[in-house]
Amino acid sequence: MIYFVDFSMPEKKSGIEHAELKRLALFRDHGMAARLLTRDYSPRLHWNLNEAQVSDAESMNMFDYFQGALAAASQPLTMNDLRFPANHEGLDIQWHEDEGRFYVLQNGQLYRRVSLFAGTQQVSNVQLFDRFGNLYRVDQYDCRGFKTMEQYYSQDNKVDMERYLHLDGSPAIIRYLKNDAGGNEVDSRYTLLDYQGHDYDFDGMKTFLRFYLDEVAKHDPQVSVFISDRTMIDDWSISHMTAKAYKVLHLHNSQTVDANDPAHAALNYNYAYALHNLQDWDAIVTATQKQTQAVKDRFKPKIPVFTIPVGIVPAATLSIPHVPMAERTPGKVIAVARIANEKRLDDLIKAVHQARESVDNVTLDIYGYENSEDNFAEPKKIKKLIKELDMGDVVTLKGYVPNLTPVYNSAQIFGLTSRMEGFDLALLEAVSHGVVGLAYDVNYGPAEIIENGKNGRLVDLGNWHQMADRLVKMLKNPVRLQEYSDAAYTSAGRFGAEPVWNAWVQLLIDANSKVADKEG
Amino acid sequence: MDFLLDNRLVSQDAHVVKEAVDQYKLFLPSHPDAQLLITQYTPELARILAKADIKPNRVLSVFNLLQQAVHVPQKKLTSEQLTKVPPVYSVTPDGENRAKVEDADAILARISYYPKSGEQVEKVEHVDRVGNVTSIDTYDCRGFLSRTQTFHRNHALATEQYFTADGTEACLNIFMNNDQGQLTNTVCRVMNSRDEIYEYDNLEQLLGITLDRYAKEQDGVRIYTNEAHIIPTDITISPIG
Repeated sequence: MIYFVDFSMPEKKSGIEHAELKRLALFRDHGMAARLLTRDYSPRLHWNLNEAQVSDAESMNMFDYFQGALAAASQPLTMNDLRFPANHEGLDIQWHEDEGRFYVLQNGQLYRRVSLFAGTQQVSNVQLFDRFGNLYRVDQYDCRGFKTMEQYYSQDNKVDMERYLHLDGSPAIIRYLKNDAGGNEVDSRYTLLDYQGHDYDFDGMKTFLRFYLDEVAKHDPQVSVFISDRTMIDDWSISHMTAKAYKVLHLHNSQTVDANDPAHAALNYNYAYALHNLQDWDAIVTATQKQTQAVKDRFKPKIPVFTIPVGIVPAATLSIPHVPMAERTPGKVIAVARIANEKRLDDLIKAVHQARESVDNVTLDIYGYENSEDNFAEPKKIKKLIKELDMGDVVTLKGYVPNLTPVYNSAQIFGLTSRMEGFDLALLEAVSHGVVGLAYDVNYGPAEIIENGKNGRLVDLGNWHQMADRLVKMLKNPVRLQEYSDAAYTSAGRFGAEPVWNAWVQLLIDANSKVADKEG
Repeated sequence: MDFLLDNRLVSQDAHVVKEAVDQYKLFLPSHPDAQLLITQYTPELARILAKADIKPNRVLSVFNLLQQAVHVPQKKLTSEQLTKVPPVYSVTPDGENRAKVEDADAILARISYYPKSGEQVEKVEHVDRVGNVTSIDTYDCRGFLSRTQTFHRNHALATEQYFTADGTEACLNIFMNNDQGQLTNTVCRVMNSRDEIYEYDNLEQLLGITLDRYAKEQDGVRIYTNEAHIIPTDITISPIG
């Protein structure tokens, strides 16, 4: 079995999750079972998986696994289903519309506070208060309708301990949160209770995840292949597994902080640990030949480096009717990227601003969630720039939108100003819908997808003036723009499923052979 | 039935224990069927009674009532018999009546044995990687897990779970600050066999209810005691002598 390891499957997905979903679909379409292995506890996980069309059989969350809740039946739990202590009568239940939650009072004193999952009548969590008004516990409910976790609070209102429950309510996992010698909060211990008759202690998430992965591999009758998709959270755990397994380091982005200097630049911190310990891995995957060569040149790995594009254009997309440029919104530029520093969306906004001096109908729609790092520093910066340039009517932040097909079918140009890209799935999706790519020429994805001067244009990294010029030239020449669009539709055929599948098959052949060797 | 409530019996001081036993002997001629009543949590009660040569059926522990452990046979429980310690962990002696549980070089827990018991497990103190005690498991001297305590970040007691001899949770107690800022047992929670939850202000209230329920099954229960602090109960209380 092949496993794709990630922290979760959030509602708002990044490129890595989208790549995993495409890969999962590829394996499904070829009749080979694959599983998405997620690490983190998430009460909404099964809704998110369902929305992403991932079945219970295709996913294995670590907490679900040990809680015995991998395939629990869904029975929505509403306020009316909640049971309060049998010896407490005459409770006063009030709905607070402004907060979207129920208050339960006993003799006028707050006793419980019940929150619902947004947009539903389903109970999300219940806060419990003692007779002195202390919040002492929060009971968290899974979206499938059962209590899944109890959070215990300290006297100063911090979480001290979390008990994750089996379906029968008995504890499965206890997480302790304590302060270290420096007074910093740490996950100081995880205890897995009564797992196959024993209690196991872990000093943190890394060792707990390793144990989980080992258990998955031990119970897998086939050769276990683990793809490290979220290397920063799983590299240590996968590389320190003791069970027999084939371990794959997947580079979803540039391995160096300066993507255009792969031979000398400092390593991307997401991959540094793994790249310094390649002896613990069995293979590396990159999305482009260029990145594969750069990795080989610099690290001279003794393990194979496979080039497997993360973008797969389904056959159905390749045969969709083409939307002519004349039927698209004139001057519509889109960007699909989370609003984060490395995406350099400020450059794109400045390019559009300059282009409007020549083409007054240019507008820019940015699709992607706001990165919360440094208290939303980058989204704040972008909003400030839009205001400073008086572009409020021109640039629109659309947020995360799951289905972008209508957007692709109405846009003319896709702008990409990232400092680095491992691939860029959104660019490929846009191109496959006839949107013309206009991107910085950075390692590694854009040049793989955009054939410069044929289906779009590449400009020098950081040169947003050049990008503005190209934008103006494209929009002022509808015939050329249509040619780019026609070529874009055609070029997507290079990313059909079969070449990608064949590349995965090569990796699986290597896995079978290597794990057989490990077994001696 | 008459009860002589005297928690001195479970004192750590042998002289105090002797005084309690002597008083009980003086009490018996006028109340021949009287039993000693203990309201203090005492996991080593069976050992104390054996040492004082008092038959178990002459003593009623309210905690035993709560934990459904009035009649529990003695069972040997050494560290080797702590079945929940995975075989990959090592248990090594660590001084008199002590051992430690380790995974590689990391200490995971410290085990205490009841003195002169042939290494009958008394407590298991679990520690985290930064040296905090995260929980303490207390074992009844008859060989079952009786109580688990966890602790706040400031090391104050946070929760207490009491268990029956078969491992079912008898009650869960929460410790938070009262309105004077003092650590207090602020909630006592019980789940019965029908999955119904009952909540009390504190453990004492639950113990009182437990004792009252027991008394209702008997005829004419009276408690004799000179202790100033006793659990809340509907039973008639009289001073001794």
